[in-house]
Amino acid sequence: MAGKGRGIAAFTFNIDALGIGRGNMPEARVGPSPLFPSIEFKPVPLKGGEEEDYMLALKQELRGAMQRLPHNIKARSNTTEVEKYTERYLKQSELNSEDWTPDWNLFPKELMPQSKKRRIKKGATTKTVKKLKEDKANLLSKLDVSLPSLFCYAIQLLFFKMSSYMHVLRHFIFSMFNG
Amino acid sequence: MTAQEVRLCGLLLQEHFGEVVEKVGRNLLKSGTQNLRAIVHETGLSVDLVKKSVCVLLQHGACSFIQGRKGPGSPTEYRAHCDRMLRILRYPRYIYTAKTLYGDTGEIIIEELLQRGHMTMSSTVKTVADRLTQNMEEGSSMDYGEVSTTFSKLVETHFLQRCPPAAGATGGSQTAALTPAAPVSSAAPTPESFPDCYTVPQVKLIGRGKRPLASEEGEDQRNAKRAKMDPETHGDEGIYWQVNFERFHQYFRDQTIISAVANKLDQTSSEIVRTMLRMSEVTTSSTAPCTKPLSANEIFRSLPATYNIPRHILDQYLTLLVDDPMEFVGKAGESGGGMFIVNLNRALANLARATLESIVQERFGSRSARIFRLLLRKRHLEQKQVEDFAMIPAKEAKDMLYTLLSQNLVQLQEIPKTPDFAPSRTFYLYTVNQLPTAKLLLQNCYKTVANLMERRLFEAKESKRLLEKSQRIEAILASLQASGAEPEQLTEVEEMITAPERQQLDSLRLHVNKLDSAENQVDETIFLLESYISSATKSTS
Repeated sequence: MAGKGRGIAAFTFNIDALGIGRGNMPEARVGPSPLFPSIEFKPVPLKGGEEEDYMLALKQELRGAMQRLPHNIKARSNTTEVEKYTERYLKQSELNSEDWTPDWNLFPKELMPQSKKRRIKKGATTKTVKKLKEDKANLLSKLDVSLPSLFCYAIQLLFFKMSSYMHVLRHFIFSMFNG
Repeated sequence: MTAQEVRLCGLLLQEHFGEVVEKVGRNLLKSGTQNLRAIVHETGLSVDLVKKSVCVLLQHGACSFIQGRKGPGSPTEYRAHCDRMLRILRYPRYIYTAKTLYGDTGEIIIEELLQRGHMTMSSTVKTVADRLTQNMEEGSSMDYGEVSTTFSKLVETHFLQRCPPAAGATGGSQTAALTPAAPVSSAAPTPESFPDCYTVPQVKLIGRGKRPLASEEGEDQRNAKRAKMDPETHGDEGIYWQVNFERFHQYFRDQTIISAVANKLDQTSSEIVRTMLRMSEVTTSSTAPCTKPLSANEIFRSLPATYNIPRHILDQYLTLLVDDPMEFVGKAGESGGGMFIVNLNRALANLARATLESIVQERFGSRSARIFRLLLRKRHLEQKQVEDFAMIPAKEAKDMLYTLLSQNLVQLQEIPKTPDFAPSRTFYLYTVNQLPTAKLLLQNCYKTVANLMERRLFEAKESKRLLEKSQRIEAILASLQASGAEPEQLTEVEEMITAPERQQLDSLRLHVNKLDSAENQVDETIFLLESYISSATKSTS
């Protein structure tokens, strides 16, 4: 509070106690520190010997082997995509993954895979498909109209929501061009 | 579970078990104990995938489950073990140690057990025999008996142990030192508490390793049918074996002490220390601060036959070891010609101190290292005293001190003369605390390894196209050679990779090897600092 400049360049403690003076302050930081700062002392080179080479080879082999084991779980990829030609060669060289079943005495029972086939869903899908077909037939019959009403209809489209009538319009134009 | 540890565990899981297991593992690490539904909800994966991943983690001991924590009807809860996942970094070292001690057979046994988590003895022996047979020449095959004897030897020296049975309730295969976070009614049984931990089951395994048949298809089919028809049971179902990491760590610690003595003094002293450690292997538990006292007479009798030094020379060596400032060996009494112990905790602390000093020296220069060593020995010093004792000019000493302070390697301690902490009437002392500094540098090491792995993955991803091309060409070459092609065809295929591409591949391989090797070597520092921290926290708790 009682300093030369009212709050400007005034420390709240006696700077001499730390042994530094006002003159040799480090530079103020402008922005974040650089991503790869230059270091004064270069690191010591790695140990290179028979032992280290062997452990390196072990590590790489171990990594490769563990990636081929059935423990390595890959997310189910989208099978509808076209398989690249390159992958065909790679797949041929890969070993078949044996299915691994753990000993269920050691693990909790809830982790066992359940194979319940759900049959109810199949009926539901057929119903919705049929419904859609009926709707389409109704719409088409409604749209078998003559030219003046087409004109009124077009004006309607200009003023009402286009999006909801888009599919109807498509069917309409289709039927116009065909019949 | 610090952020750096979680990041490193995530990368290790991804490299070895795939991305699905990584997501599940990371989720478990961050949220502590969770049940299956919560994991499914938070990771957003399908239930099957989550179940499979949890199975994989349980198989490898990276996760454990607790049933009925909040009462009899509550769901099973899973907890991940961060330190177990970090062990994956050390697998090559374990395998190499087994190779030096027990030859190729031991190496392959340990490798198979590490890859599969835990296995029964019979399946291990069969897999190992098959693998060894593949590498031997035509006509000879590996006998099961040989592999079994190596397996028994590994169990006798406690390198392998049985998994504790998980009969319904708690089934953890961790040691009791890791106190479970959740207050379980019965603590997780340690593998050592199980009385038959190191008993090899009486299993008769007669046979030889099988070579994969590539000759006649008819024979293949017949063999396959026969294998399916008689499933062989060997009477040791349900007894699973796993690698005993604590024993390996004891071995590494002993090796570090012996090589430190050899570097500081000479070969004979290291042999004496090696003898002392070998004699106390079975009598000392892994958490003891020092070995049981051994008399000089016993040491003299147990020295290896190649080192026939006379008795008085041995006494002189022992006196030298006791007087050494590194305090590896201490004197515990006078009976029997002098009772000597190996100070394990003291040795670890001194080795960790040497590591810290060396780190400071390599990063900040030898003069900063001198200041650091001074502060380690003299505990608290003022600014002026530091300059005087270190014999460094004031300005440079200040600069170095503030660099060390900004990196948190040196701390400032305020001692007030008046209760109002007025700056002009307060002493400011610089100090170094070894344990917190070691913890800080250990986290730095974890961050280093994670950075190295990320850089390696990045490099591989950058040249992914080139790597795929070279893999494809190798596959084509292999198939051509198998079907017997002329050399011109082979050279034609080889020339599909142009010279600059070959150069790029070579430099990529060099970089990846360097990064991999660096990971292995940082792991040695990690081991030392981890051992020191665990020994120091155990002795103070």
